[in-house]
Amino acid sequence: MLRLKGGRLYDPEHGVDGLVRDLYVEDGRIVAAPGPEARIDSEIDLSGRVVMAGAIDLHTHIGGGKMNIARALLPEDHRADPVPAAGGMHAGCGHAAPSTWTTGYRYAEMGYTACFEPAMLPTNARHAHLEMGDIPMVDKGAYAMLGSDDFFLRLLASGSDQRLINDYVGWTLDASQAMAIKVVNPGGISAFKFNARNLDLDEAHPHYGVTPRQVIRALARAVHELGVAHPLHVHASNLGIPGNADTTLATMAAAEGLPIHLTHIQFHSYGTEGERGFSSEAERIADAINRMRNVSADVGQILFGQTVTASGDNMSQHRNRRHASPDKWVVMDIECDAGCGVVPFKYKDRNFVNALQWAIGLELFLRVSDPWRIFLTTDHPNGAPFTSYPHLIRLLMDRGFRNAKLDEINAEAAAHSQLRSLEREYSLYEIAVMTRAAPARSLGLSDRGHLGAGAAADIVVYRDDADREAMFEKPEYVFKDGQLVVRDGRVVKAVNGALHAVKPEYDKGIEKPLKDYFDRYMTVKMEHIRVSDDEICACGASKLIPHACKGRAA
Amino acid sequence: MSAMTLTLRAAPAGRIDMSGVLPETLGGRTAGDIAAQTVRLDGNPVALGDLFAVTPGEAGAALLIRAGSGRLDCLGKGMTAGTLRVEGPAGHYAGQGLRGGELLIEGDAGDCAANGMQGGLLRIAGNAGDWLGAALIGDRAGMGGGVVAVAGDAGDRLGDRMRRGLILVRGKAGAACGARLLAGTLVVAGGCAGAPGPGLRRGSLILGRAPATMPATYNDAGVADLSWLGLLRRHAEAILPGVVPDSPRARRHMGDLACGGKGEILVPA
Repeated sequence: MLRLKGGRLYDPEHGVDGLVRDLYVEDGRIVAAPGPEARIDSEIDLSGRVVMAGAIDLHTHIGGGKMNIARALLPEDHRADPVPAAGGMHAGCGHAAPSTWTTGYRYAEMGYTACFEPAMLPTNARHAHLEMGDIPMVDKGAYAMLGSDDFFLRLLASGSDQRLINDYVGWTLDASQAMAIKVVNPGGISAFKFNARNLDLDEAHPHYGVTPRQVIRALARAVHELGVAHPLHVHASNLGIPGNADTTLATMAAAEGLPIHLTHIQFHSYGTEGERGFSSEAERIADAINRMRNVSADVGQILFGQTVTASGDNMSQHRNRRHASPDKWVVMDIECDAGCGVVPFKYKDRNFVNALQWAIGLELFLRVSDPWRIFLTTDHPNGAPFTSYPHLIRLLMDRGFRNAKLDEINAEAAAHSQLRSLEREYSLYEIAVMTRAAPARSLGLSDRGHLGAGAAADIVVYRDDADREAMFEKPEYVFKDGQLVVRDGRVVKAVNGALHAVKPEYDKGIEKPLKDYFDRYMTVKMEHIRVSDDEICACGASKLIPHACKGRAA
Repeated sequence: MSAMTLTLRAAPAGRIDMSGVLPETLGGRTAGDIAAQTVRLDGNPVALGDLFAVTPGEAGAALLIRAGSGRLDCLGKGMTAGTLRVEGPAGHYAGQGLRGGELLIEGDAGDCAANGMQGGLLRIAGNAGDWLGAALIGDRAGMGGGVVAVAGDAGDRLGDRMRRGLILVRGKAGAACGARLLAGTLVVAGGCAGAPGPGLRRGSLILGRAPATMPATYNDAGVADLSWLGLLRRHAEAILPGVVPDSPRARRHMGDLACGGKGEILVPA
């Protein structure tokens, strides 16, 4: 048994806010304080240290095809950032689109122990699992993308019973070994292929006649009725378009009270005021989130520098292609299942739009009062590479630092933003909520994201440093399932993470129409789509962690 | 001015990545300082001094690598100024991304020499491997400037995707010479194996010997007197004599017609 002695614990799941307590770890789990007769094999003195559960990133593009396209598109990203092999770690490379191994090491070195890929196409699931299996150190999971696939749109257009839609969603989760359902530009990816370049929430799809609102309603209901823990994960319509805040608010309402998660909401909080017709609507969006208890969001903060945007939203990526820097881009269809767009991007602090985007993201963080419903993301790599999280945490925790940065950005954008007047500074407890407890709860990971007895021993120990960036950049210790894997911000032991997937109940009768559909229209058979439980470990994950779902009555 | 000298202690046990070992970075530093510089042996960090005996030299002096080896990769990579002389063969990626200065290899060079080169002079006294003057892996354009002079032969895909600059080869070239050439001038006195210029868009490929057959996507545009050949010859004689033909008369094949056909292959009339 290992004793972690005298650390200051931040464990929001149990309301623990900076209490000094000992932690006991045995067989990869946190256990209750044993009696005096228990044998302590080793002990680490953590007095003065900050202790939290392993961090969880619930929206980070780390696998599933588009990152490979980004890697192929950006050889310069790899050349400029080589990482040599060292001490049991593989060599790697890449800043915005790092190689799989480097991704895992860098996440662990920041104290992350679980990452969730939010855009896995069911037809691409096998590749996504292979790629995620390749990522060491952290647990993984993926959200299956639905809402622009023809089978679903046909079901919806023909007015099918919700139960049939539920079965299809259940089958998709099961067959693709997914953790949740994501919808990207609802129906819009399909509409793009019918030459639509825009699709508003209540605009009919040019071929199927259904609206994005119907797509959201049907999927949110399916996810809810199947009993999947994580709400429908929505990348709303009109990404990046000035004035899209109205669409975002309407999207929240489209869930009709059912749980809904709006992702990278920074890209969806834009207004049209001012001389340049681009303004912040962060206040309105944040107010709506504060008001609507069924809504959660992650921010998708942008940070300045070179990155690459990779999204299933081919419509938006096609629109953004003219901003590509360096000037090259990819927009493609993937197996008629959805789409994909990869556009390299350089966010500049002197650029009015980029600077305002930066301020809007921070405003959202600071204006949403409940840290349980807003999550820390940069939508890696779309807003910035995930390695910028420590910097982002400092921006949230340190008003002086934030205002100093505000002085450096485009002056006009800074003047337009109300960021300077926001006095809030996140506390360590709130950071522990938004990066640990809240994502674990949102995903239904009952034994992660907290430090209670029975939890997996994913534990991170930080030196308490007034410079929060330095503090969160280099944890002193990171334990993964009880094993010491990182010491002083460097990986000391390479391990493989597990894969989380939900196992909903559904009627297997859906396979009959699906099989006919695949036989008639698709390039592969339905049976080829299914990724079996055995394959998950063959793909590289240490094990599959299934999560049962308790279906809810319609 | 005394030259800095690195003398290889023994035949390398693996491939050595010589990135960063440049006259501009080592000049004026002490022997101990230079010996402590890290290079990579099969990917693992090794002190330069463990592999080479170091004689320091003055800042601005040439850097001499004595008794080169086919296992020394990335010689002169990214060099911007000065002279780096290798007294023997070089490994792969010699002169990768070279921007200025002179890289002189007194033996053979491996594959991918002068990839992504932007300026300066690369001289190879022996033969060059495949992909000379081609693009860095993943890049859309190859060599973008400077001069490469090869006294021996060159391998396959000479000047692949080359965009600007001059490559002179006194011997023969391998297959697919001038493939996907975007622009620039490629002169091969000894002719080339197989079909030249697949996918050549613009630029000139000058062959001292006509290939056995011209590809079907090149159009014979007849014999022409090209006065610029004389200018090129005058320029090239100073670098590598006897490579550019001494007559301005040449048979001109326009192509590759599958890719716009704005380029040309010139063979003796």
